[in-house]
Amino acid sequence: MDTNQYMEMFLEESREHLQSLNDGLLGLENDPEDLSILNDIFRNAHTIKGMSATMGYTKIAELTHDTENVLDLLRKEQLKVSEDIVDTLFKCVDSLEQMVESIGEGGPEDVVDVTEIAAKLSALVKGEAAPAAAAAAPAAPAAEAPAAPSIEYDDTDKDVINQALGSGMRVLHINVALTESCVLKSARSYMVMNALDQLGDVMKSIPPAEDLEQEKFEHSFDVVFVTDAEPSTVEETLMAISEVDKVVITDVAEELKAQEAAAKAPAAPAPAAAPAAAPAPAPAAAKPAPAKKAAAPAKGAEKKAPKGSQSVRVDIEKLDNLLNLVGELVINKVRLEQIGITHRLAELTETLEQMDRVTTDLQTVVMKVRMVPVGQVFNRFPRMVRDLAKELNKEINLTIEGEETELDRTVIDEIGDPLMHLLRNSLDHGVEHPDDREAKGKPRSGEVALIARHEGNNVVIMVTDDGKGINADAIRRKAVEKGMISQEEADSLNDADAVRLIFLPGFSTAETITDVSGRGVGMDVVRSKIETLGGHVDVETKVDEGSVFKIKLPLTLAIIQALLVKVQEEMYAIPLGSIDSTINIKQEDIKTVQNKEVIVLRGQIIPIIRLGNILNVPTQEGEENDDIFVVVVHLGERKAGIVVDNLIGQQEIVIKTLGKLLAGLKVISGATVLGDGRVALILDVSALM
Amino acid sequence: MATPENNVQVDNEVQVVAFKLRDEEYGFNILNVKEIKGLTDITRVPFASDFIKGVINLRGSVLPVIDLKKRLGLQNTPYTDDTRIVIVRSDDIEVGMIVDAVTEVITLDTAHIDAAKVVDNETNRFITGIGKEDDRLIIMLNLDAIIGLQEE
Repeated sequence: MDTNQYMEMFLEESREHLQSLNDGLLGLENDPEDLSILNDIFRNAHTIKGMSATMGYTKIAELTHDTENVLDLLRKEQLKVSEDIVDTLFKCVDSLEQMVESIGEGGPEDVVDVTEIAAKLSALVKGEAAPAAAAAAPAAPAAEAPAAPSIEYDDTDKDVINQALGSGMRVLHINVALTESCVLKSARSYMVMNALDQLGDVMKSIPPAEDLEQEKFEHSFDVVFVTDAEPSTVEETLMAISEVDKVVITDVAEELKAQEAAAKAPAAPAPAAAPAAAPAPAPAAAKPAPAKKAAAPAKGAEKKAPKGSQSVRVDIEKLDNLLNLVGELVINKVRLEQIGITHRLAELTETLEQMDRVTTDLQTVVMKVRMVPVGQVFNRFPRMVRDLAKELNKEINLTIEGEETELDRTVIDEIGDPLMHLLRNSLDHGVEHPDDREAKGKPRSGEVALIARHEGNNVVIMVTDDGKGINADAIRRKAVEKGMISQEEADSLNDADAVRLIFLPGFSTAETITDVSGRGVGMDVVRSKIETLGGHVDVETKVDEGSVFKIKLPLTLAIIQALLVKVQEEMYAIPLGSIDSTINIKQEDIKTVQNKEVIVLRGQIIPIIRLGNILNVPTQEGEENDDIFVVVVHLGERKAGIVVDNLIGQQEIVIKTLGKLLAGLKVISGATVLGDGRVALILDVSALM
Repeated sequence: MATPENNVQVDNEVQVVAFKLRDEEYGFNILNVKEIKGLTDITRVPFASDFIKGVINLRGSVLPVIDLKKRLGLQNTPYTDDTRIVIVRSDDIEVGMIVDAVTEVITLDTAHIDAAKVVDNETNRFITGIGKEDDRLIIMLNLDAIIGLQEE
């Protein structure tokens, strides 16, 4: 098979699954009891195994297979999640990542020596799982079937079962295992179901019938079966179907008894609920068939719930193309509208109104497609922080906020490395050792946060820590020592500016150079990278309280919420993030203080900015309106009221740059294209104040 | 010998998009011209240079528009049905230029393009030469100077 054409897909998906594996393991480390996480991890590992085997990467497949064995034991609770196991699993994921990356670069898959990990894995399986040796052998799924937790019966099921038992029928729990080599599992399961239908009624199956049809099961499935036939007859019939490896039949009545006994022991309410719920399912109970139908979809819906959002990978170039085409469409639509108006074609105009809505939606959707949540970059950091904290013997609690903040795809691709540098710095130089922290009266575990949010026309990403902060004097000294600045210059710098010296090339204050950070290349690389993205990085710090690194990125293509306002005939957009409120005042509400216009709002004196005057909007004749609209904006603690002629409304807008030719204009930070195709300028509130 | 001859021919000719400003005919090298479109809504940009008329929406991207007559120091005339925006491109900058009318795409023999010495004033730097075709004179414009990337 020519697998080249699938290579991209394989690589992309492997990376994705490895990421999920990482996330899952992190989750597991925090909550070792959570079975659903384990199941997710297992599924991810299984998918990787399948994909790599198909692509012919046996090394990856083998390693994932070994990993899976351990996961399987954990899942069956035959092995307890321990730090050792999680560490080993992390190592596996790392090795797999290296192998996948090597393949991505066209290299061989066996770049890492996995024998040690493989040995460790099998030791885990053999050593600690000795009592459950049978289950450890992956080739014997049938053997574990009886040990598998029995089906859980809800009240409706129990009702139906009791009815059936009452009328002298048998209710059997059948576990059907297909041979490992079975290819057409769905066909086999269908034959089994068909055969069972001949003998009685299938009350319920696990997984549900739809999943059986779609082969969404391993090699065995469970069926609850109502019949008057002998269990041995049923077994014989089923074994007659080819590729059925094993059939285990147990009596549900006994299972129920056992379950109830178990349930009664810890708490009584569960069985007590059964009679209370009886009236509703009673009519169905006479005939088991409808009940089974009801049960199956319910179970199906339940199973589908945890499925992640579905996505398609698209080349960014295609998206740009699409965007352009939509633009063309809009323009032609406008032309048609003009034809409709000039020729007074009412029908055409009506249709075009419809089309207008569709094209507008289309445009916004296409634009939004380019935006990617920063979570895509953030999600790799928890793992990195965990490893680094271990390596440095520090206790770190990482919090991530605002991962849904969207940035343009191109920015997302570039921002990862600078953020990693900053995080490493915070961990290595910022947060102190637990003992030192305790001595300072801080909690042992250091708080590191990664926060993204919109701020005015920018996206701000902050890396904060509550560590030892940066000592401005130490920076001054160092800079002078290195001959970067003179002593006089150093003395004249205030603390904030002195700390900013760390962004200069070749600066490093770490006493010892570690492999984590402190090679003196970090911060200036961070700065130059962010500046190439049109952004800005700054630092605020307080000795012994911590540091905040703030990256400000322009929204080259970001979508923001804005308030559209009108000044005479011109339309402007004010970013909602900087708006406090909008108020309606009268001319006489405006007072003057030292010749400057102000208003008093809730006891606060707020200066007034007349947008029309500032922007030199050509005035048109017309009466001065007595009603004045004021948009109250804020910048930090400061507030100002912007006087406009009209408020149009709140709208999501896509920010466009004005281009090189118009770069560096004050007050105007960008432009946006409105639904009708016209351009509105976006105001830079900070420049207005 | 066919190939070199072809080359010579190509080297000797330049295709020009010719357009009118008032009564004079001007031209841009066709390689710089991206498209020609009718007049649309132009949004005024405060604080921009006075020869920048504003910005337009060109298929979703925002493009500055230069009032070419103002840039060249010509007197303003009202817009007509013939008024066009010529979208030109130089390096990675795209701008629109408002012209009174686009006349045609014309092939000029480079030998017929004189260096601009006729006019001797400050707008001289916007002009690269004057092309002659029959009895028409086409003033070839220096795009980079007009956009303002050179000097200033």
